[in-house]
Amino acid sequence: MRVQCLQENLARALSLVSRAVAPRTATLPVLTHVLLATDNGRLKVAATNLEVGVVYWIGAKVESDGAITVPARTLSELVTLLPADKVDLELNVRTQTLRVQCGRTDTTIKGIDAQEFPIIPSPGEQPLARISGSALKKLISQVVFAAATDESRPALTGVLTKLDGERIIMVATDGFRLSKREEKLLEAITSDAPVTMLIPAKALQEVSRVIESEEDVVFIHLTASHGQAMFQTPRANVVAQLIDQKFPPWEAIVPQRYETRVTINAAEMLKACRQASIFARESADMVRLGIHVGEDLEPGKVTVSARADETGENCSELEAITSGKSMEIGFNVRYLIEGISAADSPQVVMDLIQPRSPAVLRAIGDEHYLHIIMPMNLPGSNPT
Amino acid sequence: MSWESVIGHTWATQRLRHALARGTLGQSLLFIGPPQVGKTTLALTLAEALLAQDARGQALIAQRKHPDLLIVEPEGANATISIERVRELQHALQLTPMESRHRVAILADAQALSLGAMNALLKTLEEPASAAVLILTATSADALLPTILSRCQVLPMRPLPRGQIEAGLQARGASPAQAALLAALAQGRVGWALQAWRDAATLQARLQAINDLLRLLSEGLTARFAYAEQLAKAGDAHIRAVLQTWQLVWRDVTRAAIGCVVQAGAPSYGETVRRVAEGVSPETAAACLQRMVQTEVFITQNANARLALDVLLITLPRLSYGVEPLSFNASESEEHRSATTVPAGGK
Amino acid sequence: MGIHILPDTVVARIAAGEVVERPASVVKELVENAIDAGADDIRVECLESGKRLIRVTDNGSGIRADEAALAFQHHATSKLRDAEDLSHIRSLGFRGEALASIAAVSQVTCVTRHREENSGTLLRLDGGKITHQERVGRPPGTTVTVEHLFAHVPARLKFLKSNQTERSHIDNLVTRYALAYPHIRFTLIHEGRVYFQSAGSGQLRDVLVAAFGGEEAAQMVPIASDPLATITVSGFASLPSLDHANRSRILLFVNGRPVQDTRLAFAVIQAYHTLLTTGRYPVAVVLVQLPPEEVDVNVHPAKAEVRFRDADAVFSAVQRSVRRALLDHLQPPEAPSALPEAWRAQLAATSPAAPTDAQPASPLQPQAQPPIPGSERWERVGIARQSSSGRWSLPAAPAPPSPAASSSSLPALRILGQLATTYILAEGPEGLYLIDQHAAHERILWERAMAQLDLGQVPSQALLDPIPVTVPVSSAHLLETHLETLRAIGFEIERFGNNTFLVRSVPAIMFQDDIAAAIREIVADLEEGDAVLQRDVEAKVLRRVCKRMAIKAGRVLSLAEMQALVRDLEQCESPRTCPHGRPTMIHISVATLANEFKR
Repeated sequence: MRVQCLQENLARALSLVSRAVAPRTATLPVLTHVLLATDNGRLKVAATNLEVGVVYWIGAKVESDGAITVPARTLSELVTLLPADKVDLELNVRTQTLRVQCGRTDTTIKGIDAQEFPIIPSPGEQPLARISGSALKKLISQVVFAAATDESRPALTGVLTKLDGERIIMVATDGFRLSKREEKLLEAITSDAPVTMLIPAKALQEVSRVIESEEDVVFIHLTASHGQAMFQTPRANVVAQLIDQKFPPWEAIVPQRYETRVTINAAEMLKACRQASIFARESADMVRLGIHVGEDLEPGKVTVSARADETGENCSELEAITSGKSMEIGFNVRYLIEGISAADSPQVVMDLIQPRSPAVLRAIGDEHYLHIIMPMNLPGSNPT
Repeated sequence: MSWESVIGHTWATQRLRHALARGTLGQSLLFIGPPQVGKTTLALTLAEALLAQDARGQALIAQRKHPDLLIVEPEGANATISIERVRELQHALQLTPMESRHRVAILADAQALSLGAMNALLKTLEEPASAAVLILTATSADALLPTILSRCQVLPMRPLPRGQIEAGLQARGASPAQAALLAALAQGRVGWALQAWRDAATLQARLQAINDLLRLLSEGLTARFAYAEQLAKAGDAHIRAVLQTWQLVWRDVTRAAIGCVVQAGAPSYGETVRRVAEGVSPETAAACLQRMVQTEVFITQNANARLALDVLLITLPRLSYGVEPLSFNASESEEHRSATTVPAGGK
Repeated sequence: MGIHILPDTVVARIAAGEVVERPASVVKELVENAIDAGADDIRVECLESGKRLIRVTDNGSGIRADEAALAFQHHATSKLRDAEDLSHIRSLGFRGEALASIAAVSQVTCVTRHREENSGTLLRLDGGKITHQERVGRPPGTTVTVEHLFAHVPARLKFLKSNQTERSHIDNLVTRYALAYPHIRFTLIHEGRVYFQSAGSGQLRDVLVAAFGGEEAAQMVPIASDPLATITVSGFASLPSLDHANRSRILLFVNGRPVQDTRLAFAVIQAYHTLLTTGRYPVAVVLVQLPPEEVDVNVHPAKAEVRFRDADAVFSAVQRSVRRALLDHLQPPEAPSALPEAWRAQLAATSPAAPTDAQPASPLQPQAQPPIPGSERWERVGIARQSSSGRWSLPAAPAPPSPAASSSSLPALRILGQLATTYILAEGPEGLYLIDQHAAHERILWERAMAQLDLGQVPSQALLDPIPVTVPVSSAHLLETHLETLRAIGFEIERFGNNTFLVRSVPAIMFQDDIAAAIREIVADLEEGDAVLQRDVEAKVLRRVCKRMAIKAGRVLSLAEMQALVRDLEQCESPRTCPHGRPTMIHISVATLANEFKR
């Protein structure tokens, strides 16, 4: 293999695939490497940790074909320090070493045979669906954060992704809150039946990272074995192993009615929550929302309060549009902050039933986002 | 690493192959047998049947580098498998496979799992992902939770007859004399025989233990106590290895003393055994064997090693004649070591 | 005498070596002889941990003049006669061969006078042969002096451990006999200084004070069993406030003979089930009496093992008696102070065991806790548990142990970094602090949870979808009876079918956890305990929750996380121990560092 490419392109490729590189404690040493391979006149840079694989192609002058894997960290650190110039890559097949030449720098790095690198499948001819990059990015950002980071219920570490006709729906939950968003695809899916996949949340974060431009169109593929999902952008391909587990039936959890409805300014609410969070640390991040429905023509209000024996108390009062009955309810303030931030809307609506029932958050003017948070309670206090 | 290349264990390989062919292979398997009897080799062979689609896949499995194969073994100073390693394994097993239709995990020496790790494992055994196959190996079922046993298809693996090991070694290129000697000394552990064939030091260590015994038989108490003193310092694991080797030899001596024909292909070994047996009555031989077994038990129960060895050596019969030490042909072994690639046997 | 190495004598010496393994074996044989002779005052003197000299003096019946020589010779000669048959020698056993065995490997001087005779006998032996014999005067009793032990047996000599180890064996042994025979006054003298003396009052508790020190003895309660039963158990057992790092302080006696029996010791440990943290062991003196035909003490001459005819009966008697003693005394939580006044007065009377200088104070101590080089300079912060601190001095007045008293607050600490992804290194005005991140976090969570519990306000986080948990069928009822209590601390659980439960909400600190596994652990905890009061159950469950949720060892912490953790720890009432009583930190003072660096 003899290839010439630009330092900035190589550096960008290495940075984009870097999070798919396995940690140094990995059982297979080759997973801590990146694959460099010529591919139809381009240079392919790839990494995988057996959960998500990221492939990125950069333009290159290919003099002869070949492939090698080299330690990801070593190569990244080297390339970032190289001058913004042409980089010559040359493989010595016999010694399995890669020679990297740039300006006056001449380096050889010991590699591992590319044969050992896991095979990352290539996208097929016909995608399952197409979606605009910006829509997919928003979809991911509004859902992925709600997935569980703890492995005790593996299904919850994934994001349920359903493609149905012209719609794509993503749902994630950690058992205490749930986030859902749907988006339109560019056209109906090429499969007759709806397709449902459970994609690791970490893999979707990588998808979000490789969408480089709002104008990018992302092709979604499912491998023939139905074991992997692929998200293909003009220059990258993210391959996610699917989670082979059952996602809980989430639709049954979404409340169908409410007793109290509050519409508040998201920015003010977030500020009040952040203040309260300082005082909520000692009580497991619990804040109380007091919802006061105005009598007749009086405006309604919402109080956000937290108290700590050691630190003190904090209470903010916000104006709000309220309807239904007044209520006091407790929440984990982190869930409130994350759910409201993700709404990405100046105004949010909160629908409540009673202090022990799930609360529903929506964004005004964007019916595609739905967020559910379970409340917190003090067992000593009397539910009303 | 085809099924045919597995030495011995015909019953086990046939069961696995039938189960594969009929699609009745369980997702959780447990191979039980003594150390180095071939459990991991069999597990790798099964993994190859499940995973490898071409020569590259076969090579990666032989090198234990296949992306859909995960091997967890005891590690660290106390040779345990921690709950963290089990969690990693669980994480990998619930994902769809990379290249094949399965993800195979081999959990070697499951008796080394901590209790917490065993409990954590239960969940995976109860609800395995559809592509997951988990192969546990263990030296004994006793050390595992009953709930683990009940969720696995259990495949017992016994020590192999000397003949099978001998034939297996010859098929891999060992000379007849070498194969016979290694098989005689292998205690039915084919993994040991392969390792000893590749690595002269392994064989040398066992020969040393035997030759020490032969020497002590014609020595007086002073030499015996000096030996006990020295051996006692070597640590319980080493003492037990020596005692097991002695038992191996002494079983044959006892058989010979009773008048049985010793089924050991190696002429030098058989000759040595017969020579010792000439000077020992059947009763003495049997009693001494009993004491060797007992001494090993004492050592596992934390007895004072030196005292226990003193007592054993006091009661070891004394021969009025010397017995030639056993030896092996180093150059011959050397020659065959590079002949063919030798699959990994045991650990 | 090296010249006399005939094959037979070699054998005799080696055989003797099996019994006489070390100076303590000599002490054991001589003390047993003294006890057999009916002495009520036994004095043991040692020079160089017995390697140079062991002298045991008793006021027992003494040996008749015409039998004195025989005592050293009779068995020895018979043994030599049989020396060809080696296996026979072994089967002979060595009980009662003590003096001969000792004489074979040392120089022995014996002065004895039988109480019915007018004059005594002096015998001198060297390498088993009598070199001198004369009539002397002395009060009734026997003094045996053993010098230059193993001088003829270099192999054994080489095997002897350091003076300190050998001495600790002797200390241990004499203490054990003193505990087994409270009516005998034992005096132990090393290098001319009295290190241990029991009163000989017949009261075991007096010996306890002498052996363990007043503070530990005050935390031990008497064991009693049905005096009419075939198997009776007596002695003393430590309250949970006193524990030890290993089993070495579980002293067992069967029919007055010290024994080491792992299963019997296990029976004692079992009695402490759930009362001690794992890895900690009780301190106990347990005397078992049973008809002689029920027990065979001579399984192995050198190894103090026993074999019971009905082992299960013995173990269960021991376990039950110890357990009952504990539970009786645990009823009022401040049990130590509830001890009889008379006892406390006795504690005040300083025993002869009180150290007079910086030497290890207790005869047991060096054996129980082999000192790690330099460890004595590593001052442990917080509750230096008496049992594990490696040294102590007898208090002037007996103070009831009060862990709370030592849990002073922390100085302001500056974070230096993380060590082994397990410990936080911090600098304080007094030097270096090593903080165990898991234990520290456990303490923080625990104090917060308990504060919330006091207010009746443990925040509970509801689950979107209830989690089903299956528990063992046998535990289902137990869990059901505790559902109300669990609700008070944030677990909303309801029964759903036979042994399946639905978890609807959990304590709010449990947000990232395997909830099903946690419930199963809690059920296991509930099964083990005797916590009856609701408050105890709540505390127990919260302790489990805090343990699960505390940051694990091995997690990399950012500087901000470490700062927050230490700040929270500073706010704790007892920042220096975790809820299970283990230390959260180690302090190394600047002075210690300077010392280590020899500045």
